Amino acid sequence: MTSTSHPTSVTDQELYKGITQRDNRAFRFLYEQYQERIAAMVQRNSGNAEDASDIFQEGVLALWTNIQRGRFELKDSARISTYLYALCRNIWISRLRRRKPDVELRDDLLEDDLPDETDAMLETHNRIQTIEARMQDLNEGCRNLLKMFYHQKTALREIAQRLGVTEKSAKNKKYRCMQQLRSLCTAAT
Amino acid sequence: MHAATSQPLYRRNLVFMDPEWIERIEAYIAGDLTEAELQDFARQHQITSVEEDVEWVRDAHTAVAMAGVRKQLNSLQSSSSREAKVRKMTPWSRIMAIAAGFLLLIFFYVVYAQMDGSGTTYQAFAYEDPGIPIQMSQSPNYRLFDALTYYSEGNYEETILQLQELQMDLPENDTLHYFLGASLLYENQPVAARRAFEPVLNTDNPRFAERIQWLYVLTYLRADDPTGVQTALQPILEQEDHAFHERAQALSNALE
Repeated sequence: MTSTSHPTSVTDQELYKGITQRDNRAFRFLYEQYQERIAAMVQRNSGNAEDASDIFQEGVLALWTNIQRGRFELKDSARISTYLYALCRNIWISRLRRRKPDVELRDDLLEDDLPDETDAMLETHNRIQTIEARMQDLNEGCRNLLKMFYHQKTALREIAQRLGVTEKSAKNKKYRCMQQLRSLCTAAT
Repeated sequence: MHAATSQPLYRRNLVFMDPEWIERIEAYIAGDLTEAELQDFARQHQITSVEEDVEWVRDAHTAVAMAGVRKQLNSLQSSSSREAKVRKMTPWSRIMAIAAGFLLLIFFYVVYAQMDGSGTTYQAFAYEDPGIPIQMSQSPNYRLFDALTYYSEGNYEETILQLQELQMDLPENDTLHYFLGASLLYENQPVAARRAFEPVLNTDNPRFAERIQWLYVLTYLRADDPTGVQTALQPILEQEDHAFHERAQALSNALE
């Protein structure tokens, strides 16, 4: 990304790198450039402003998860904005159908010239989203511990210091939290 | 790590995942353990779902990080809202605000109904550029001509897609900025439209300069931002021979 806080034009490569690094400038760019278009699509198809905002955020997260997991690679044939639109569109179709099973979808929502990988990308995102939802059922200590390890990438020594335990004990606690999370996920399916 | 034993580490019912197995998987993901070593450990402990377990641990790492990214996005959105200076009002001031809003609504309805009988302010002042595909000074690319053809057909959504694709190759192209801004405005994306117009607001091409200035005003009108409208109107009001001077004057009067 460029050094300005509100870039007006960035390449897909810069955007991709920014998203990978969770750079706020990249996320802000996505919001500024594409949120209105997605909102227009959702609101043309039975959604309100709140739906539009939710769908856009979920689309950005789906894009991020797939970049993170190596399921999305830049191509000459399709741009990040195309994928983001396709992800948001499919998330909205799925949510709309859950809400109103007999809803009639407009033709523009059913256009099929969007990237083929969208369904697979959404499948990955949905799986990860389910685990994220189950995390809320963990106790706060576990949630914070996992966050420090896997999101903030805090060093084990520092985590142990913050918890007032040995490094070995912090590590064991983390694995037990992961074990609990797995049990919660399995119980939910 | 413990020495490998021949005892199963855990029941294979997918509910239970032993911490030691998770530790091995994480070491494998981090590149500290080879696949052969992981498989060997799994065999010794009668674990048959290696691939699935590895995938789950990867997913769990991503899920934890995603919760953080979600918070990051929420705070980005709420900071945007703060920038918009939305204040929480007390119930009494809310009632007063609703009443004042209602009175203003009646006032504007009466003013505009007198003006031309049409509905909203935007409709009253709308200007739809017919989009004759003229190439401006920096338009050597035939793809731009294609995009402008979509524009002239009124297919603004496709125009936006085409022009956004081209934007990376032609970042300084004034024609592109103009038609992208117009298409975004007609597709009800006024903020993005404004951003597209901004680089060419001071273009020295007179054919486009006046239209850009008026469409720029309309982006604020479309976004229900009267302060922005008034500011954007100023350069037009200052030029009596401006093609949109009369409309600008009428809009300014309506807003006062």
